[in-house]
Amino acid sequence: MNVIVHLVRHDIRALRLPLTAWLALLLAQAAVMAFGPGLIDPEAPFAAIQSNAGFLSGARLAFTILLTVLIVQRDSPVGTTAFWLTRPIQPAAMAASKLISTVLLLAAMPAVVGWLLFTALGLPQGDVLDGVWQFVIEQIMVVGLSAMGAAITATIPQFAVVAVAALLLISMLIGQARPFIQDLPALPVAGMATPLARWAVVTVLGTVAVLAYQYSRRRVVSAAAAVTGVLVLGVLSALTAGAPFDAGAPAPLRAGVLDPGAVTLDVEPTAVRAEWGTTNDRRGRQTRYRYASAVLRTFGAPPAIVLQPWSIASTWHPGDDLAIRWQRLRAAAYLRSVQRNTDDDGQPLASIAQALGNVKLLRPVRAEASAFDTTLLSLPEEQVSRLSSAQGPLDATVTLRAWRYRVVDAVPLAVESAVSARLGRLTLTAIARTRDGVIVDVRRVFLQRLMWTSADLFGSGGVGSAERLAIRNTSRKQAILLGGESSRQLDYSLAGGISSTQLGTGTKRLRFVVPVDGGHQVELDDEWLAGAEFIVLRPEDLGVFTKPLRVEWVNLENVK
Amino acid sequence: MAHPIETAGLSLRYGRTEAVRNLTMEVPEGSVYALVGPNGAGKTTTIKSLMSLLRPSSGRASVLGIDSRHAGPASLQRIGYVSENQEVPLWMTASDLLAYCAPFYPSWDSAFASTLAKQLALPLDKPLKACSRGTRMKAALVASLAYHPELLVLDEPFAGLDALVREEFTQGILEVAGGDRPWTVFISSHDIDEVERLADWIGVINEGRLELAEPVSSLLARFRRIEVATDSDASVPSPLPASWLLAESSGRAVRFVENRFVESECGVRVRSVVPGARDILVTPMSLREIFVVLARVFRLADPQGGAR
Repeated sequence: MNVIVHLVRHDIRALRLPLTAWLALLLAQAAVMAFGPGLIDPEAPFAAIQSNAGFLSGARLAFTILLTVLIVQRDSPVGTTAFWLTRPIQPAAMAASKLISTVLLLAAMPAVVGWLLFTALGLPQGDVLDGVWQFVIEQIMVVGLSAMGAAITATIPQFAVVAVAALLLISMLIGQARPFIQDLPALPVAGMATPLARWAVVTVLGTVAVLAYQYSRRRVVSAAAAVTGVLVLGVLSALTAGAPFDAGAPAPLRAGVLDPGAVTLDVEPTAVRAEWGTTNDRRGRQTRYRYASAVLRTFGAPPAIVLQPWSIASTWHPGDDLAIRWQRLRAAAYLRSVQRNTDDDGQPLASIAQALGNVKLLRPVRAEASAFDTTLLSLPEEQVSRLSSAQGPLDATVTLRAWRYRVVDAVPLAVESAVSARLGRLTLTAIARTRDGVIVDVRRVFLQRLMWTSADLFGSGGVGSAERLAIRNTSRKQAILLGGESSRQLDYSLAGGISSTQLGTGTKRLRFVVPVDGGHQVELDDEWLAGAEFIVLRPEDLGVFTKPLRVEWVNLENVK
Repeated sequence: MAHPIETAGLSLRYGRTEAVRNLTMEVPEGSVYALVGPNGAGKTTTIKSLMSLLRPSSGRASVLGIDSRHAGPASLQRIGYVSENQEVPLWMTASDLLAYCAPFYPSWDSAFASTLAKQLALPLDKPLKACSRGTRMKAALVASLAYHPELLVLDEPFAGLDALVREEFTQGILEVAGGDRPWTVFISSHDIDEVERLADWIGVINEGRLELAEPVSSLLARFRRIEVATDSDASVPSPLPASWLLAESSGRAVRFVENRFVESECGVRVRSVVPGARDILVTPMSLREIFVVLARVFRLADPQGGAR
């Protein structure tokens, strides 16, 4: 152990100048993260600070790779001229020292800086730990892949050639071979759900094995073959991972929230739409589909509760042909804006209004998504064309998922008020009343979760879209939902695209449009704003139950 | 342990090229053994096999009684190694280098290292990247002597060094060799003059083969340059005795190199082979001259050798 410590100290001393530059880079990036949002002009179309933040992230990535290569190649296991080879140093000790040096300097140190930074910026500790852990995984991935490349090369140009070859291999595997790989059974990487985490586990194990082997045996060709194997296994482990969102079976309906027996489900035959679309399968083959969809009407649920068609199993009886069975296991319906009043079930908005204390929601325009559009049936065009008739009744079993909006945070609508939202920690920096509405500028520090959860399928507009922001005046019993926003963010990690989370800071300009009530614009006076609160709402999952559905006629013959 | 270094049938190939061929060699304990040969003869490859830097294709080598393929840190604690090809950590000062190496050796003698550094006029506080090649070699030498190794392996240590540094370097080795601890020095070089000052054993390697190996004193004793003056125009005798090398005639003289010189028998033998021999001039040869003769003989014996 003393020898390993001695070697690690030697590495640190040897690289003290680039390490100092690396630390300066980390601190510069931390400074940009901390103070950059304050430099962003929300009116300007382009924020130079974003370029600087991107540059610093890129520089840190490049520095991580370069320092890893320098640390390993300083005592290279390639060739016969390295100084350490003729000194009484156990190869295992040398390999261990390289692993410790790289992880300590290039993963642990930036993680500590990141932890201190985002803790100081007020991000909740749980989010900080999640984000830093993800960040450590990214760094370890970069360090691991670079260390393996450095262990089979003697110089930086040689490493560059190997790195390009590795990138081409990974690109080829992910791009060209992906459709075939995804059909393979998942590699058993226990307990690692996200693709990146699975890849990281394979990379870490592979790096340890390759470095131990190469430092003890010094056989470049065999080690290069092992590195290739680790790359392929890593990509396989990532691509054969399950869907990158919470796909667990929903829980049964929570007791006491509503009586399923009182709920009825209905659809007007005239409301059923038949359309066509195309899909590409994993191998890029295009298939044309015909499908029928409708806004289902639910009755009998309390207004505070939203019922979302979650899964559907249909049996269609077209003409004299045999019954056709079809099912969709999740997200059978998506929330959409509707054009017709008959379709507008108003479910989410009613729940939001209830959650806000039974206030009146002042709606600026009919742009709010206010009904669930449910796919009843979807068949390949080829199958439909073989039918003697493409019309007939449909019976279905619909699983309804119950949600209820609740207020997760509420603060006075005032500068320096702060809330915790899915968007991160939002601190209000400016509130301005304009002719058209209220503009609220916020500074945010965030852990952006890029991984879908079932709550996101409720919103269907993207990760985190189910969460709603509102301003409310309780004494007036009025509230306004967020109408639009513009966002500028500074990402902490350049590799965030392959992660399930991303730490960062930034700004948002939130627009609460002056509402229209009964055809007249509602005037938001100073008193309204002075008594207002800034609210975060989030849907709470209450569980599922099933209901039968009969649709008298579904016609797939004349599609739009 | 019979000998600090022993090889038996050692061979090493680089692809189709056989760099070392069936090399069998013994380095006596306490000797300063010089392995000499022209560039590309296989000296460095042999040493790298001994140091476990390269794996033999066949045969075996043992160093300090341990098979070189299994040599590990325990062996390296007993061996000093300095090579012209070795990378020295240039960012360090000589002092840093010694501090870096010290923990690896239980027998590290800091006082001795200081003495050696002083003797070799080694600047301790100057970064090695700013030092000359000679200074770097001296630093490597001190770092290889400070733990009193039983065996010192030097691979072309004099290459590119100026005269003063060579003198200091050689002096350093000789003084340690002359100390009270028994040790063995194995040195490869094509610099015969330096080897002559240091070595008491010599091995000559050519095209990967060990052509001869014997004490320097024996080699110097048996090689003589002989010039025979004759009464009339002379020609190179035929058949030529096996021990006469590079024989040539010019006018009334025959010249050759005798490699089995025995003073008491020389005159009789020459007169029996060269008719009309009148005067016989016998000149002792330096190691350099012997080496040049041998190199020419090897080349004549195998004119395509260099291309192999």
